Amino acid sequence: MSVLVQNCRTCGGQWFPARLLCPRCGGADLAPRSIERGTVEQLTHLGDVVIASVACDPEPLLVARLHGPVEVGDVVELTDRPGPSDRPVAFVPPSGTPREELS
Amino acid sequence: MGKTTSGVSVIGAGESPYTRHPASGTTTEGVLADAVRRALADANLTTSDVDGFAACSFTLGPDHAVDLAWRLGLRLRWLMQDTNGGASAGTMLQHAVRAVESGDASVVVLVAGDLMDHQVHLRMVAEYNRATAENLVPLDMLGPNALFALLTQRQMEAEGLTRTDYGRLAVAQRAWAALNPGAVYRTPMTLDDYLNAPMVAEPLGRYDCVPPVTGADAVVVAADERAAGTRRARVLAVSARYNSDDQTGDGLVTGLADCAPEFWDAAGHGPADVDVVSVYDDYPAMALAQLKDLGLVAGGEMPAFIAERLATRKLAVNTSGGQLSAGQPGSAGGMHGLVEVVRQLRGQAGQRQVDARLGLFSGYGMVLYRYGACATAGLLEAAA
Repeated sequence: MSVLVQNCRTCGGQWFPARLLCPRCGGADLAPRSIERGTVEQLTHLGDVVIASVACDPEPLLVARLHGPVEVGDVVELTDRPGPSDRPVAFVPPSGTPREELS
Repeated sequence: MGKTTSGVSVIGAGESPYTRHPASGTTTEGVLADAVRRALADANLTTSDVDGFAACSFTLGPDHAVDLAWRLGLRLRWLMQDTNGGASAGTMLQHAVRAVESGDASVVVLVAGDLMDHQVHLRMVAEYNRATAENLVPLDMLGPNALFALLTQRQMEAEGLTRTDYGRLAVAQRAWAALNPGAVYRTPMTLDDYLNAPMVAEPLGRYDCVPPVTGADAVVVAADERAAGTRRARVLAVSARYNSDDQTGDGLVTGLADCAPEFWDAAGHGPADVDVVSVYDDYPAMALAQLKDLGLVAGGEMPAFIAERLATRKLAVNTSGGQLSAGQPGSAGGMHGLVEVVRQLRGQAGQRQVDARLGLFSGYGMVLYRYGACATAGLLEAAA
């Protein structure tokens, strides 16, 4: 399980959602990169829905829906598939980058 | 951009009355026209005097600013359409001031507003931008409440704030609203009312979230000499920032922090000189963030500032009741604060009138992914 973010091949910056040019260096060579986990920074409840800010190391910051028992400070697995799993996950809908382009 | 302005004034302001539940047949163009008509009447002008026009509305489509101008009978030599929602007042005023200074226009009307019933509001928050539609709505997250709940948690930790502190701000604004016949919520609110209200997304409760309303706000901008001898609000400075941090920060610092040095330098005044303030209050946390960015409160001092300055209403902040009590009329949310500052500086604020020579307004908005990306501020001075 993972989420695809953009990796700038020029400066190494990582971005989500997808950008057209790298905000840090202006480069156009943005390639998909698979990120498997992140740390839950804050979470809140909208009824039964748990929304969280999840920090990847070293970036980017994601907005995710948590499934399963997850607390602030936990490292959680990231997925771009909706719905619960057999273990705690943070769901982040895909942005811009088809999976088959993953290199 | 930071250049001092002194030759341009706001000479009239108008607001189409806010309603939670618009009457059947109410239209976006209808409330926009009503605000324009009221602002022109306030300035003792008619549509034939207007040669510049700017409009911001989320719900005007498929029409554009020129369609609206046509329906209003405005023949123009300067026209803009703005899309910056809560920051639109500063954006449009910044452009309008330069248009008048340069001679491209002599009398410019700025208007923002929306028809915002329940269905329209749901559609707007679902289709706000591509990131919202693709990356937030699929989380079963409709609207920005959860994002600002996360942001408010960060601010509570950074500034040592509690729900009681935010409640004091909301209660103070409701006390101002009781003095404003145009506010949709005027019944006095206690701190217990605030704390016991239903939770929306912790730590945000019902009274941390603005009530959507239908309405519109407009102002008339003109060369100062045209308004000589009348009560007016001279524009001293306008500054703006857009996408100041690529959404990579904690959202506790808006673009106004970057604006502040040039803004106060251009204005020739400092934050301590301000008599009346309208700060964009989509959530209490954002009102506080902008007050900090503009230098009205220092970091680490927010709880005492709220208790001593806001709760007591010794500092006149959001004297209309703000959007939290007056209502959020879609894209007119930003114009609401400018209209209130103009009314205060022109002595038209009725029971809530304060003794004011300098008025500050700020705008904030356009949530891209994690928080708002547009920030604007203006300083105006009473002149006669």
